[in-house]
Amino acid sequence: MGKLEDRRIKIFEEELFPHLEALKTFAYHLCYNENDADDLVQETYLKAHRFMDKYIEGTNAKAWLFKILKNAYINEYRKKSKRPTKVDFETVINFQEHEEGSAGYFDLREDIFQNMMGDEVTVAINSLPIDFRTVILLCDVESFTYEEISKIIDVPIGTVRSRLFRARNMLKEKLKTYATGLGYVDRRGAKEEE
Amino acid sequence: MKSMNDFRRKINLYFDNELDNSAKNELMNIIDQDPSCSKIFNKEKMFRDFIKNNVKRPSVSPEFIQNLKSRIDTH
Repeated sequence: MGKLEDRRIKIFEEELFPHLEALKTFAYHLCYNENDADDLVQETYLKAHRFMDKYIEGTNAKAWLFKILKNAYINEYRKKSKRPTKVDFETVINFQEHEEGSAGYFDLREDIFQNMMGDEVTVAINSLPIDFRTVILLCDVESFTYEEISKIIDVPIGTVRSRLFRARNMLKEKLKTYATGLGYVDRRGAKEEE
Repeated sequence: MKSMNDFRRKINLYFDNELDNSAKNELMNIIDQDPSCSKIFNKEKMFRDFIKNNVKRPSVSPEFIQNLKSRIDTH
């Protein structure tokens, strides 16, 4: 019993707790507020403790925890969420799972980034449908590989890739909209309009 | 490089660290030789950096960590 407890403490301290902040960031962008994010992170660690026998020491603890958190969010938390997230695929049917080449790339000018504060990024990410938001957070924020993301969200790697492509284009469009609201003027094509 | 879309797709794979070394070198050669490709590459880099550096990362309070550890101990 003592050895098992020592092992559990060692795994938590060395492999699981170092990912607290990354999990909090992911949870925050799923739940939209810090209190709910804290609850979700706590639930994640309690589940990790409960299913510790399924974890192999020295393997990918971060991906394991993210998968637990994602499942906890879908299975339990999302039902309680005050903010509806049911729009997902129904409202973005045209954005779904196409190959990258079948639609255009959305382009942002460099000076957009200089005109925006960081807050717009959070607002823009949080306004994405959940499935697109998730891949952006896992890939662009947490630097998981396609294979890891595929396992965390239970979809094929090809779907991860196409979803990322769509998510980034949607995000760029949203950032451009925010930039316009801040007074940024896109002068591309201005000559034709004048 | 078959097309601009193919080039952009490879840039995405590059930043996602999903290209092997040979494909990376091929992409870098194209970027070095073609200013328009270099511009696209730099724009994508700026976008990725902007997201990574500006996304909100809420802090985890010491009280939360202490409470979590207590919950786990009594779980």
